[in-house]
Amino acid sequence: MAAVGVVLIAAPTVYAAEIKCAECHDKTVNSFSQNHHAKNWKGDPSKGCQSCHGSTDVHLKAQGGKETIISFTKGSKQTVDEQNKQCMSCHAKNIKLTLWKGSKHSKGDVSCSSCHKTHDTTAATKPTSETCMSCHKDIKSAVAKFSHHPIETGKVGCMDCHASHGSNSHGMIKADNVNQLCYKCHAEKRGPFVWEHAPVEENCSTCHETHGTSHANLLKEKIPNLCQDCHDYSRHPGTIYDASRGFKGSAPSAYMVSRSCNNCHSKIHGSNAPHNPFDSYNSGKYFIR
Amino acid sequence: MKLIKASPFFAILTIMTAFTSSTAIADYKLGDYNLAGTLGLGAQINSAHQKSAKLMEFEDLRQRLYGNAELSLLNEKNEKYSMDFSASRIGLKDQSYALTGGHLGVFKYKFEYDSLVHNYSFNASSFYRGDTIGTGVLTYDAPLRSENSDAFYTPTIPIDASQWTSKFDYSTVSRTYGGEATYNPDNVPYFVTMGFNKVKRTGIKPFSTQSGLISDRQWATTPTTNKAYTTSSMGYMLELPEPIDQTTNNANGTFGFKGDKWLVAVDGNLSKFTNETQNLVWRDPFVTTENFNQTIPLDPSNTYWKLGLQGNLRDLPMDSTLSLKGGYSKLTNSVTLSDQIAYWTLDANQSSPVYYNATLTPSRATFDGNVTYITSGLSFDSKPTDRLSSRVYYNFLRKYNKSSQVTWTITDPDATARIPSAASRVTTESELNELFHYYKHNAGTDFTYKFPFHTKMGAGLEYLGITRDRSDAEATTDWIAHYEIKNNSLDFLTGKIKYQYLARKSVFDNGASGTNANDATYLFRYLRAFDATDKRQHLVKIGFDLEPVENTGIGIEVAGRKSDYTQTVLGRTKDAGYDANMDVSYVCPDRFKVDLFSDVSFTRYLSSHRAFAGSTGNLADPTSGDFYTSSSLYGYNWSSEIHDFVWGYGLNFGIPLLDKKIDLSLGWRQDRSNGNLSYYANPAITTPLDVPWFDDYTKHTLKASARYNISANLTAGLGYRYEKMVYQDIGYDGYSNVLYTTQYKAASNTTTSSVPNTWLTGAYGDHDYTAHVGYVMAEYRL
Repeated sequence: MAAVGVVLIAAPTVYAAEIKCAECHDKTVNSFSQNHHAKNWKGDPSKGCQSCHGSTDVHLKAQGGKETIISFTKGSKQTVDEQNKQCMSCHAKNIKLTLWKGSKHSKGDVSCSSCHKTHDTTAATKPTSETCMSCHKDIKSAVAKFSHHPIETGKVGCMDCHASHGSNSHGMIKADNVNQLCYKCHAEKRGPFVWEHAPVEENCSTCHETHGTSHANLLKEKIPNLCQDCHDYSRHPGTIYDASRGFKGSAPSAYMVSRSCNNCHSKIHGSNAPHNPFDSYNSGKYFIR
Repeated sequence: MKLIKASPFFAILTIMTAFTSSTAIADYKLGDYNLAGTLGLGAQINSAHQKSAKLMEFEDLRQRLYGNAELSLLNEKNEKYSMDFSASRIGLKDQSYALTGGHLGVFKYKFEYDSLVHNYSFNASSFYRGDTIGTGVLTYDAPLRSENSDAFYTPTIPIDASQWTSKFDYSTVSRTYGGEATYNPDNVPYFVTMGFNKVKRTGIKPFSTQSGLISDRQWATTPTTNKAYTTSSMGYMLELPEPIDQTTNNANGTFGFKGDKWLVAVDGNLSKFTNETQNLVWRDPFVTTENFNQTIPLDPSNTYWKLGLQGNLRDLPMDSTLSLKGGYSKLTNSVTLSDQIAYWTLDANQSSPVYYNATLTPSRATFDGNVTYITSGLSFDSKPTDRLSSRVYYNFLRKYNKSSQVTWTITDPDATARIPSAASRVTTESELNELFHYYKHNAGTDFTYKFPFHTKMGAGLEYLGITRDRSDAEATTDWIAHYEIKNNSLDFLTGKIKYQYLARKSVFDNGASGTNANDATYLFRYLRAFDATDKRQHLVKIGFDLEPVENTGIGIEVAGRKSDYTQTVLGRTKDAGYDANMDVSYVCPDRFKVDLFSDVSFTRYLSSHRAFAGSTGNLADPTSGDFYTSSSLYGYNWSSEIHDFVWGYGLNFGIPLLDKKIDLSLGWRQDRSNGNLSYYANPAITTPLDVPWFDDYTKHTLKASARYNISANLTAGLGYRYEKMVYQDIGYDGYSNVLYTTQYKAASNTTTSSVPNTWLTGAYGDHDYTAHVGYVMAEYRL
């Protein structure tokens, strides 16, 4: 009863049915009372623990057990679909959840409770990037690499780009395509440009891996090789840029040191500079200006 | 205050002691609202302060006091109303503030200010004058030299970078101010969301370019003919500080109607990007006989807007959902085109270079950018039985570029002075920019079926067709098939495996390039861009989640990808990637938790190329014989292979002590990367040196933190972080601000190798660091 007393003082939203639950689950009920659910249900006697967990009669008779109640934690006897149906019975009309059924997460048997802590206080219920990466281990590995978005520092989150409840776009991104997503933050790369670099216009992901790589600027492959994978011509860039071109080599060269190709072709995302048809070495067409 | 500046740690401890005397939980009220939350004051120290930007890439770790706050206002009469305020790292460059609130089930709002710091590189130096660094006009003070074709060039700028007086940091800060509100009551059939934000980005970012002019040290007389000639002006590069003063104003809105089984909404976005510095003007250090400026247009200002329509019908027969979307967006700008470009010629005696801004004749004064994106999509998801679910979808994207086409025409004012002689030159040339358009059609279907014994199988087929206005690759067609199976019939084990196959077919348009095999463009017959050529890819993913004993979790994920670019002779021919991730966690309830993790990835790229000198007799055809043996000094094939091996491992440990009064956390991890680049060419022609350091790094991180609940309303926090980064790369190993090339004495045909051809400022050259970072924090709970 002492525990119940604490709950009653600290959690005025708790109604009578919860008192019974609190006899065994005092911490959960106490925390729940600070939660959105509890605040929203306050004054409605039909809402409480049983709204989600179903009838507690068998549970009480058996004095506990996950198999005697609708449970949302590991070891639950309900399938993920059944668990999620409990949540969707109220949240199906949520405008952010209308595409849930067709989403990768839904089809991948991800339960709502995998990401949402429904008993916790309001501030703790919201999933973070850490929540996503507890399953997406490859992404967790990527964001720790040398080049990354500021995800670990919390300045960019998974949900800034991805609609975890479903989207009509590939990768559940919050835009119609990759470029329009990237341009939301990188507006300076939008152009339009007199001289366009076709792969840039078509898909940022051709060269960049957004979650993190071991190469500068989230590049999938290190320059100059990334550029040479598409470009060859007389003398340049079809030349071997080997170790002799490094600072310590016998012929140090701006083709290899520092940012390599980008040393000169710094406007690689597009340019509005003029083109000199006689002499292209300072022309916008080659992204040098 | 003097004390606080001198010893932030001591100050914090003093404040904590003062607060400790007050241990009662206060009852704070603002009208009908109860105020609760925490206020924190902290201080941080950093042994590597401003030594390496990589340590502080997205963090402000300067030695400063800072604050945190988490406050909640709760209406005691109606708990559905709430207001929360949070502030973190107050006073630092990465500070953020957010005010959120609303009425549950009716409306919500959020106002925020966020400051994102991006440190690129510290302690850069430049010969450009300090008062011009960070502006749109870069200049330097150096005496001019008179031209003397038979004198070795002596730079007028100090070649010893330590004498460059301008020191600065490459760093930007993006400040975002904005808010968004949503009105979406449960009991009305409509909803509306409106938002606005302004992003102001300021600072300095690394930028670089090449002179593009024949350096006044690079014209000469050849030893053999004693006639004036030029060497290439390519590669004469310099690093420049780019001023960043950019503003993006964004507004968005959505208005829709909703029902139990349907939703329809229109949404709109408007985004206006303004770059306050449209051009960067810089004095060319490769021209030392006169004060000669060049100009580069920087990122163009632009306006983007989008109108979209979306809707869905749910709970259709077979538990189906039909979803539709469509969008029309436009990106525009207007840029005044430069009609001048830096150029050079030789004087009448063909003995000295002359620099000038040549007049171009663009066919129009402004470039009016006008790019339209049209998108549409449809998906139909259904679940005919409890065991079967399916999805059919189609997406369309069209990029239509209606921007200005500009013809750039230039008339050589002094063709007779140019080399080679006038007879082989035309005096007027023009160039027209291409406008890039494309269509993307994407359609697919996938099915999932649940078999007995908790086994689920899925399969899908996807089509992606891209049609481009692109001179080398008109179209690509992708067919992607995938199969997957997942089983969790054992309580303690879930396993899944996925296989995916991609077949890409391309239409290539350069098959007739080049008039003959001596023509450099003949190479294009064999060159393929890796994103737009034939490709076969196999991908396998295997994953396991185990819980062998209670409170113990083991996760293992292995993935492999292998691609073959079947059509490619020159370009990327193969690539492969293999990843493995594993973590093991154990939670001892109410005692401790520990997490061990490890990840490994290996990537391999293979490519083939042809070095070609581009003159008669040097074949550009890479297939004229065996790939490696058919070669000459000026026309030979070579290949490269990259191996990137990246791995990391570590552990995290958390334990409550002293009856949970102290929470102690420890974490350690090591990350490593080992990249190697190797070459192969005919040894009789060349023996290129392999590159053993290709973005190699080792990073050690040790973190320790403790939170001590001193009293009901006071918590003390203490943290320590040790980080060490060792970076080794061919591009930065042995970093020097100046590189040199050969110069010629014109008349006597003697050479030396001391003339600068590259001026660097130190950007990205400060990746190595060893840092001890500590913080102390006092939190007062209201």
